[in-house]
Amino acid sequence: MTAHFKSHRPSTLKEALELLANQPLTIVAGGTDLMVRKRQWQGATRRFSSDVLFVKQLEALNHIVKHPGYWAIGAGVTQQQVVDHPHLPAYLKCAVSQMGTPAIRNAATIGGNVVNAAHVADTLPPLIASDATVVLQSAKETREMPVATFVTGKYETQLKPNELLIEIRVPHLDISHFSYQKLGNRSASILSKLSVLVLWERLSDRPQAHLSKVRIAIGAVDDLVIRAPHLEAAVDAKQALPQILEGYRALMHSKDDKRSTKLYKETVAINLLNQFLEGFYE
Amino acid sequence: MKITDSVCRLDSQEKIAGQTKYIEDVSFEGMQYAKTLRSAIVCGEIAAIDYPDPPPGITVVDASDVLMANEVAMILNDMPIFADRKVTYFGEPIALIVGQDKDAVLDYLSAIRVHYLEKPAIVSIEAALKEAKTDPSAILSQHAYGRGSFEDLDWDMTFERAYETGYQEQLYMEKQGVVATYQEGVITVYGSLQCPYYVLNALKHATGLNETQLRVVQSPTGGAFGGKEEYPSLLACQVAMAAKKVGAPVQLVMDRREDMAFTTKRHPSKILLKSYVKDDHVVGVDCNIQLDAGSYIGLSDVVLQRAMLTLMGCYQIPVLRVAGQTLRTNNVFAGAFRGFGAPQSMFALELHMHQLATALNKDPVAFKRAHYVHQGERTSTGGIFNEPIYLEALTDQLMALSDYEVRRAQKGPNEGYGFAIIPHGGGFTGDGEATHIKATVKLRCDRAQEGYTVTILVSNVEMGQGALTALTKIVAATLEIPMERVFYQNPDTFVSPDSGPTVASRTTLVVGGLLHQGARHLKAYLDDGILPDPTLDPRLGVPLIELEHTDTRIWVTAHFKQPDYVKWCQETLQGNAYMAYSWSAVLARVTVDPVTYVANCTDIWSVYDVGVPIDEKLLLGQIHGGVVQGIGYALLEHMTSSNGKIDQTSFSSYPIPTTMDIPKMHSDWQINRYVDGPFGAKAAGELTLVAVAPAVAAAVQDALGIEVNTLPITPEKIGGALHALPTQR
Repeated sequence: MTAHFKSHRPSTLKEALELLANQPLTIVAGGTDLMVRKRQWQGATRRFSSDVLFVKQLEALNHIVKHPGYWAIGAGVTQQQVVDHPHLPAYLKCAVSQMGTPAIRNAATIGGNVVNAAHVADTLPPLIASDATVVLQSAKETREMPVATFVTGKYETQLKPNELLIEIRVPHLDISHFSYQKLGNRSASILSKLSVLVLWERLSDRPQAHLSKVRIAIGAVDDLVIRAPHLEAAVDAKQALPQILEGYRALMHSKDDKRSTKLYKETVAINLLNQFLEGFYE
Repeated sequence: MKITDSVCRLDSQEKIAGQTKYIEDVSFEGMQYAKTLRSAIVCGEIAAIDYPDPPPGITVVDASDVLMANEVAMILNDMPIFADRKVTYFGEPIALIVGQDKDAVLDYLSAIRVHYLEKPAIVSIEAALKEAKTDPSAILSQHAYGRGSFEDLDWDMTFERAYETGYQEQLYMEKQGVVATYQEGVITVYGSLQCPYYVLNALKHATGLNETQLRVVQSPTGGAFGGKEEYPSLLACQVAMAAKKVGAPVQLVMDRREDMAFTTKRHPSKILLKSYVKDDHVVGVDCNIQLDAGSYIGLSDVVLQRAMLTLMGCYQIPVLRVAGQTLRTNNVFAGAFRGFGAPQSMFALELHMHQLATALNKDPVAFKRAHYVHQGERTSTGGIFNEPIYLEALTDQLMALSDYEVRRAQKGPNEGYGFAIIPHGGGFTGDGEATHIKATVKLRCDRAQEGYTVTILVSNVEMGQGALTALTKIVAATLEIPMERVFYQNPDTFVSPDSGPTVASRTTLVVGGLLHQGARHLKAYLDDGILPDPTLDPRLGVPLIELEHTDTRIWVTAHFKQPDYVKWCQETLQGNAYMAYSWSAVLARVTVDPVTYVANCTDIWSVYDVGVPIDEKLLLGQIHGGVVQGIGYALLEHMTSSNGKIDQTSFSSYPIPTTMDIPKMHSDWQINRYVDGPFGAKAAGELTLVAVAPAVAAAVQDALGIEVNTLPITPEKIGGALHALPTQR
């Protein structure tokens, strides 16, 4: 039978957490992914397997605040709010600005993209590169953990049924440069086949460009974003580039899918990394 | 008004404002909704279907409800309306579940159990060819034509290549949709469709009812591109049976994923071309074309014929052999799509000529020029090129427009240029317009105090291409009255005559031509009281133009007569394959990223001979749309089938070009008046798509020195080709 479900639209976070404490609920924020995925026939009821909790209206999830040490971004902040913010880190805004279309970005939330945990989610590489954390709250407790720990697989996270993702915390990094390249099957309005994000600091007192504090995140190639601190340290130490690239290649376990091939995604991710890094090795 | 006056499209404002009511926007009183029960396997037999007792308000409509023949009449009648006993492709319709409450329909649908006896499926052209060795019916159709003898041919080298193209999805903005009503003994089908009379004929065959008991009304159609040529006949037959059984209006509108997974697409092809060369000149070509038709022939044989008959493109080749087959597979049903076989064969031929020129170390443009056909020469099927041919002028114009020589001299690394030049025949193949279609149009003139108004009655539809505006303009300009006094009656088989389907770039050329003739005679009568020649045409048995009048109304009817120079033999495929050819020359500039292997088409320069354009803005609309759809076919639109199931069934996995993917488009045209076209016009609709993919493919080869002989040219394929040839990097 088609599930006949109720929907809840609480006005405060407290009410929302109380509802979550009592029953399993499908949480809907912007709905740009979920409403499409649960659709079965235009005009028919969507296929939600439980009651639905709408959270986009919660004021407690709609803030962008600079704290000492980190940016606090409410989970209900839209992607466009991130892009339009004057002071959020440029690498984050750059990645988010290439997601979806303007209409999608105006509805889709930053929290939704994280908690949905698609392997092609474009917020994950910048958040994981910056060691961002998520704040998860239930009626009983609040806990914080790195995004990299929170996402455990394709569409899999550590979110408990009674918890709500309320905030993402992006640390202030002592880093002023970035390079972001996203490849999809066309130029815009497309899911990533792969993306490569590099954050780094340039030591300006040296005559030759030099990399330091390098952070590298490779998105959409594997089920999880690829991040390898030991290889980042090797780049900082200017160890031999071929070995570093081989190290990254060894971490990749991509698959052929309807958008691309394993060989292409892995090869081009390495090509892009090589293209970026080799400039600093001359 | 004059034909040279520039006009705005008559339907634009309403469509842009969102006021146009498409079929899904129309609600009929008591309307019920139909959802399709589809085959869950690719090939096999239906052993049994367990239908639970339907709850009140739910109706099952299947093969047992078909009034007369469980066959969709197209050219042959091989496709059933509802699969009965056997299923031949994944998603084949078995039944409609109908009800007023969509949730209840879905609940019931999910409770149905279909028991199958699965059989091995044939899911590729190779497998179908292998099957044909034991079961010849795996070759659905085949043809061959040629001239001259390869045995006596004097040649010093041969050049052979194999080409492949994949599916292309029409991706019209409005999905497939029909509504049927049953009232006072009449079944009426309203729908998003291209060919009201194809649908009417299919309904007659399926129901045994006649044209007074069956009515087809075209609803505003939000794009079609061939995808609503034959497929709506299937949907109309299904929904007609449902409306009859339920006794209420029934709506069948597909979801996007359904539409992408199960409706017709462009045929995948394999094409083998072998050229025989003597003194740097092609003296013979041997060609074989294979198309994956899916499990029913539908229009595939006609698609094959256009693929074959468009060869040898713009070239005069003395010795020829052209063969082709449509293969039966258990893949999705392939069908009509803008270009209708020509995009496949012209991709192969034009890229082949580019590659041959490159192999001979010749400039591809000069090499192609050296082979151009001329007026008065024989076509590949032994007809005569009757009209002036402007291939040289088009090429000169294109070279000047693009500054080709300078650009080539300054060409950088990973930058390439590709040139393609193609013909496109307007209207049906051979004598099809005269023998099959026999188009008739009507004009109704209503006299009024302040002048008179004229209404166009045809069965050709506005589907986004601009037919409404073009036909209205032709009539208004012929009568020398403002367009505001000319009206277009939405096609309705109760009032509109059969002027043929809205296909094959024939609407302006053939239907516009007939309206122009009709309007000329109306004007002669209105101005000077001159009546048309009442002599009966010996073949039609009626006068070509008929005029009837009352005190307030004048009716003018015009019938199609094939021009005397068109001679055609369908058995041997000899004679004039088309009434008149339009021509297009395209130059593409491509840059390829050596790191990501992404080919980016930055510029398309294109020039056309469409006779005299009926309206330059409308022509530009066709050019821009054709180029964009061609870019998609060339680079982006990768649709694959795994074990008989389409892999890409959503916008997110099937990438058509966005505005960010569209190259700069630089276009111009030659004026080459065609005597038998309205105001000198020829065909323009399909033409603009065909040359784009071969030009882009040639440009990729020019940029990298590698061959990619399959469409679309994805970064994955370019990367693969580069790794296969590491010394070329």
